[in-house]
Amino acid sequence: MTTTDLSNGPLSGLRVIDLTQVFAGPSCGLLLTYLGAEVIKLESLSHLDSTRGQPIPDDPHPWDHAPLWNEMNAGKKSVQVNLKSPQGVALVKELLKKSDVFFYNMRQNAVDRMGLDYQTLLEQVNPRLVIMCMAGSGSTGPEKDYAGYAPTFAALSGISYVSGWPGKPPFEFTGWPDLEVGVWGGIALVAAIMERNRTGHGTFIDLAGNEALTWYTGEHLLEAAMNGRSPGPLGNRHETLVQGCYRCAGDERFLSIAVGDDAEWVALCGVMGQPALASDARFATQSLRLRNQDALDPIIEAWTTTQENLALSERLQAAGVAGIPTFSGEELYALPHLWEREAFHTVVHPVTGGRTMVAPPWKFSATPATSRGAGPLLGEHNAYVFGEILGMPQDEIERLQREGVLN
Amino acid sequence: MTQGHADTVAQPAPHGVFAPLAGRRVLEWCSYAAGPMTGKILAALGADVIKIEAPLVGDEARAAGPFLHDEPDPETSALYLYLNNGKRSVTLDPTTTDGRRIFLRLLDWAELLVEDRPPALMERCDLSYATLSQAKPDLVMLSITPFGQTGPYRDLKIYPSQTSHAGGAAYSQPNGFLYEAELDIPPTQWPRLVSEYSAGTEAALGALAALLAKDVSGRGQHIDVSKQETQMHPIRTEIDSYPNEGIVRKRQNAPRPAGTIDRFSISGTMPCADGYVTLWPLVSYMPANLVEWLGTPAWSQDERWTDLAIRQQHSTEFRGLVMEGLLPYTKAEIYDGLQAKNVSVAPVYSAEEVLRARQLEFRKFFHTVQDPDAGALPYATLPFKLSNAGDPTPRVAPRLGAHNQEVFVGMLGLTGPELAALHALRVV
Repeated sequence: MTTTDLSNGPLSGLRVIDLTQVFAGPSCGLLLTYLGAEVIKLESLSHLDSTRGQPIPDDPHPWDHAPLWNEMNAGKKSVQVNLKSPQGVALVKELLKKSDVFFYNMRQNAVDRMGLDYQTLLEQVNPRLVIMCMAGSGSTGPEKDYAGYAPTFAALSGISYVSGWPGKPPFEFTGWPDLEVGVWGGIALVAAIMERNRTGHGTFIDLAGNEALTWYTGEHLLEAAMNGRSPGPLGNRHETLVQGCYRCAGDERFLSIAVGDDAEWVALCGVMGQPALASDARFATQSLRLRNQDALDPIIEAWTTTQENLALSERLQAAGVAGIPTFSGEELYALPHLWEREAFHTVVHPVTGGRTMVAPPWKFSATPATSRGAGPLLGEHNAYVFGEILGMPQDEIERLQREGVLN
Repeated sequence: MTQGHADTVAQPAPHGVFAPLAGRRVLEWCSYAAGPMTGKILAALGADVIKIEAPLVGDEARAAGPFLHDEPDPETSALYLYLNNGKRSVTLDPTTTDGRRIFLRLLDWAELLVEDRPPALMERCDLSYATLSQAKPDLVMLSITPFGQTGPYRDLKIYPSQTSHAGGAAYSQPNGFLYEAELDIPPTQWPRLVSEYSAGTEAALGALAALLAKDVSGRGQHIDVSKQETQMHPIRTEIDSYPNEGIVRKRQNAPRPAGTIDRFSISGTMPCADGYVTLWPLVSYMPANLVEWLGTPAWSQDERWTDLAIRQQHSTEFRGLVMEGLLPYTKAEIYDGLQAKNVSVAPVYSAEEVLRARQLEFRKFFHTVQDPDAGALPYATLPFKLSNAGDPTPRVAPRLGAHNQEVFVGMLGLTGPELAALHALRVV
């Protein structure tokens, strides 16, 4: 069966089997749902995603309340199959015959032990399948079994080292490094699908989270090779821009201002109502402003502290100065610009109700990337997957559920 | 269930190298970091990328550095060399009448245009998608700008270093318990160019999806990418906790409600003998393995430690004890020692240490490219390996306008004198 109907997004018609957990893998699957792929999450009571949280006692949907899970798995389908059972594994292989992508973030040797090793899958199950293992440091090499999370990827990639304030410790980066790895997972999968479409051959992709994040420190690595030194943190400063994050009126409200040249400096002094500052010898040129920024920042902040950040940013912009609030989640959610661009969408979950989510990061004019719905209930699509896709009779499905194969 | 283009003529990848975009033509009119990152990724996947740079000065990254031996030179900027390897460089000013004419011919050659110019400029020069798609209906065009192509903020000016402020990511930094007492530190930008790279990488995924869609439908389209929104994606759980759970995620040293307990008890970034490590013993067996490696200190026999519920109430104290225990050891000792016990920890590597990292060396992640001006440079390969294809070899970055002759004369058929005349007018 083929399709040229892309009304469901650019990846319409691709079926993806998602055996990932927590953040990096699920965020990759989330992006694929936005792009229109059908993403089926393999779940089992014997190996539930920790982000489903603790069960709610005496609730008909004990596992379906967790916000993190519902966020990262929105628009996917959920099917229950126990991969500790050989029959469960056999059914997954049947499903993979009718799929385009299979990806996981378990260690490769655990997947091999289940009998889902990529050699078998490509040789005996589906030669057109694109398989991806998302591992912290890859699935080969001396550190392949090292345990890692988002902050360890950031640390190994050199990102943490350039974070923080000069003379102070590096920041901890939780959460988002995983989502960056998820974007790279999407790139690897779509690229491999394009190659498959060209050559007819599927493949196995061994993705390393720390390597993905190392793409975000490339210029430092070249500098280290060229000049034999490693750049460090800048706090809120910049080598050529006079910039800072300044406290404004209100509860924990801030404004980012950056000045790139003399014209912007004069304009800033004008908005501040302190034209004399523009002729202050300490701040007469960009290099002097950079050198004397410790003296300048308190002057700017004394002025911003009494002002409302959003209104002030508009005044600065009108004068040609790059000012923008340091938006909190609350402020972003209130920003008309983002609502006009439909940068949020609301999905409706049968148990937890509406959930408002950051929308996909692209606006496609012809094949829109959009939300495909809320996070699925545990096993919500059992009947669809086993009955409709695999064509199993209802009594057999029920028997396997009783026997713990489909749990 | 497979897409309709699945049965196009099968052909092996050239030389067994992974190059899914081989033969596909990309025109990049971008500067500095985010847009060039998109083009870099497409080039790494095999695309033929022609980069348009401003006549005489070139891409802003050429002036940004850091430079070889700290001597400013547009051909030895590490930032430019990193972001533009594998592309061809032409100089052209498409905002002039003659430049626009040549730009449209380049566009005719290209399948995908990646551009990061201000939307108002593109309109003023009659180069918006509406115009370009009339000339070339199957054009795929990706625009990557600070606030996107629509909305009241469309034309606002911010610098790339402000993207993490505009997109909500700076608001929750610093993150890390060592900053808890640093009450004067305001929200802090994401480090260096990470926001830009993140934006360019998300855009690259959009571009790939649009090329795949074009393979199926034959249709082009416009992809509008706002850096503010690309910044919101990786921190989506922080932002979405406000509308859904009423929680505003703040930086570590911001005022907090009384009684807030740290989410991860004894985890965090901690000093050691030669720098910092980041320790995340999040799985139930990890804390026990950690104290065993530390030599089972007396405090680990205390029931305040052994009882998890009580331990949570004393997380600050125990985190201090763990930190004290790690302090005499080096990053390497902690990394290998604790990982041998399945405890999640990693060293905070400097750029020089990343280049020497054993695991990356084993995986041949870096490939040395001889740059004619900057010497031997370690370029990263793609962050994944394929079972049936080798890594594409990273290529050198172009000198400014290195391909003017090849592209303008060889490809577009301009005569030598025509090119010289345009050069004199600073159109190329």
